[in-house]
Amino acid sequence: MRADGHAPGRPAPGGQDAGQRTTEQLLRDGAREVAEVADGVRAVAERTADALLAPPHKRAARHPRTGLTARWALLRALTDPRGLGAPAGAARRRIARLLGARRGGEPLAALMAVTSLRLRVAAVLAGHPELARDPGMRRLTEALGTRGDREAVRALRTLFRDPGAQRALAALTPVLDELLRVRALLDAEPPAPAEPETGGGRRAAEAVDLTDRERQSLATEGSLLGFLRNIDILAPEGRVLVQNVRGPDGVVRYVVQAPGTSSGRPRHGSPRDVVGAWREQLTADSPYTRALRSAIEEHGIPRGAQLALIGHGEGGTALLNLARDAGFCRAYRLTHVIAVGAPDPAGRPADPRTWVGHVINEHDLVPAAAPAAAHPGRYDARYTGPTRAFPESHLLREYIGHLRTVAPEARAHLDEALTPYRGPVVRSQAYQLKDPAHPPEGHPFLTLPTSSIPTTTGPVGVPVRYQDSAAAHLCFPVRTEAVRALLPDVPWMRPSGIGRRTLAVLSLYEHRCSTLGPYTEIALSVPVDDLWRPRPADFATDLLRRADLRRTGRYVLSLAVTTEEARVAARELWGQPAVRAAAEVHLTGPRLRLSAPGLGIAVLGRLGPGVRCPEPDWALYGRRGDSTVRTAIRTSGRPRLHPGAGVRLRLDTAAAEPMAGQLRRLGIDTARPLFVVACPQFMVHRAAGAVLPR
Amino acid sequence: MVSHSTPAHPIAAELLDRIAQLRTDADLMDDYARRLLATAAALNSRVAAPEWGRPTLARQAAACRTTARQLRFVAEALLSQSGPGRSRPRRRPAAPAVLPAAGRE
Repeated sequence: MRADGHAPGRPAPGGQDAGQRTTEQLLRDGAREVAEVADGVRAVAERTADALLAPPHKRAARHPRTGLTARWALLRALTDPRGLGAPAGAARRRIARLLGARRGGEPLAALMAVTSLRLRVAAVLAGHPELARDPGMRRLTEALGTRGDREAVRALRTLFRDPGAQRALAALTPVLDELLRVRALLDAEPPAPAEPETGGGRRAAEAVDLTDRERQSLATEGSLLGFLRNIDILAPEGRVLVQNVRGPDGVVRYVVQAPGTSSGRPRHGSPRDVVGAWREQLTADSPYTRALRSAIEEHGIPRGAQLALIGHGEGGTALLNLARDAGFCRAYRLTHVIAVGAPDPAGRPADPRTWVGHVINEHDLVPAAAPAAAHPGRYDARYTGPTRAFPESHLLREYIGHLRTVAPEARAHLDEALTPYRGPVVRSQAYQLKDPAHPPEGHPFLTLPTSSIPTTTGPVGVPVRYQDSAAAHLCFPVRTEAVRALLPDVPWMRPSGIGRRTLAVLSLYEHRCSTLGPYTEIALSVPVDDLWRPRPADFATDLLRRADLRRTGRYVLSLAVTTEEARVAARELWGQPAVRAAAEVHLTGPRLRLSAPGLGIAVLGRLGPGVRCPEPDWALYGRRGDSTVRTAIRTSGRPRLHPGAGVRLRLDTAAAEPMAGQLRRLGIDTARPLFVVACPQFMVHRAAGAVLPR
Repeated sequence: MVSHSTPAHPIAAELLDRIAQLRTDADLMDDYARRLLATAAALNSRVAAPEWGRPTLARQAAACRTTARQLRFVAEALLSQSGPGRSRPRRRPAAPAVLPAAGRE
């Protein structure tokens, strides 16, 4: 660790990596340069529009032809497709009102902003090629494409106005600044609400109880890693922790610990402008900052008490905002602010005595999106983590591990600074933050009472909620005997079908936002009769019943997911035989695509015209030991039924068990689906599995 | 720097401000063109840089030069309306955006 507080990371592995970084840096610098030029051109266009719309000078009345010449030249300068192209933003609206129609092409400033965005995307993908698989990045690169700038502008306008794309774009932290600039220049910002969005004076934080397991897991002694682990424990439900700590001198001090919002997990409240919420978090009075202030007031910290603020990601940013609040710093003696992997809002703490520490992994793209300006009185610990992949490089548990192994000097320095807070914890209280201005994510469908179930990777809130998913269910006709051979060897679990034929369903899911985080899921399932009272054609008649009264269900033969958290949840909550495998799906357009090289499975095709169909809410069955586990599923979306003729499944010859083997035994490897039920955007909640007596 | 003999009819300060702003903006647009061409040249030095970068930036630099020329024309037109004896502004031919000699497309 150098004296200036920087911790150089491990050396780059040779010339290739150094060359990549140089290209990435070049593209990033080019993007920044073009963005500055775009801002300047926009300002020139605004001033030119002002000159055009200004009242004519008195002399023009005496020399009308000369006055007209100047005005005509101004109009031409504003609208010439070979020049400024068209006015942008407010100037565009004013000129349009004057002329009654749009003139010229796309604004030059907008074309330049798009070029800046394209360079920025190229820079991000040069340094982090794994981001090419991100759903938001895919949609963005498809819109930008390799076409000309004007086509890209039109595609971007369509993308910005697609509500389904907002969440995916909001996850693109590395390019959000450029995205917001382009969106403003294209006049594609969401309309302002009719009434100001305020909390109406209601409290934005509520004290909540911790479970016994959480209480046992919290740190009992104050330390940097202890506080960070506390944040990691409470982060999944978005709770803030305030602890009273008795320092070495016997004085009770207070530590506020705030989590960030992970990409692909629900936010606290669903803001109207999901993309713009990123920039809003950097403002001094962001909703998160207000909620934190409310939690601190709720805790009853006495005025003048010493206070330390520790946060990760957006939580760290909100705490840095709080430190800039002069009124807050007059009420409390803010001694320390430590932000880990947090974008840095501009400005210094209101109290010059406040010690600020900032920990940044060079591979973390979140703080890089709003880099901090260096200034004295601040400790910056920068290191190069072993994992380049994003968003893994932003995870708090990664930072905790790195502070132990890669940057132990930084941890020691921060612990030394926190000496007054290194003592026994005398009280811990969690607060659930609320955003009264906005409804919860997925309200009302996903507004449900929840409980926490422990798993080997940590507690999981049930029901598991999926705020933004896409799915395609490929339904293949198969022989009932082939299905029976794959079901568990128990007499009361029988395939449900008509005569000797039934269906096998290969379900492809892209979960873009869920309480388990983002992941991809591939499931092979078959319909089974009621376990106690099977009746003929129950599977068909169940379509007429309410979802929670259906008797049939689908037994999951095999399941593949892309994250460890999802694999553990599937096995331990729902009794499903999940394996972890890499997979990439495209389910949002008319073309379907699945690529799972580890499973040896690929799906490719085009959906034909479809018709609306009922929600495919069915119970899923799994096994845990000798018992069957039944999981209730509820979905909310607009599924459509398509013919399956245009879709084909392909298996590699060396494709591995179990899924590929099961597909072969069912005869699906050479068949086309009979039909496909597709839904490019829907919500779903999956309850905890109920263990049945059979 | 522009110097004027004292005209028989004094030019209003507001008009002078507007003319000066237009000329300043024209200079800015020329500077933007230069910066875009410099960025294009820097990208050209890297094999891994996207192919569309250079021609796109060259096109946008040309648009900046066109705009600069048009703004100067407007400034001259406004100056000409300041009183008798001033000739109509003459439109000068556009100077093309010149890319660096190496690898010019």
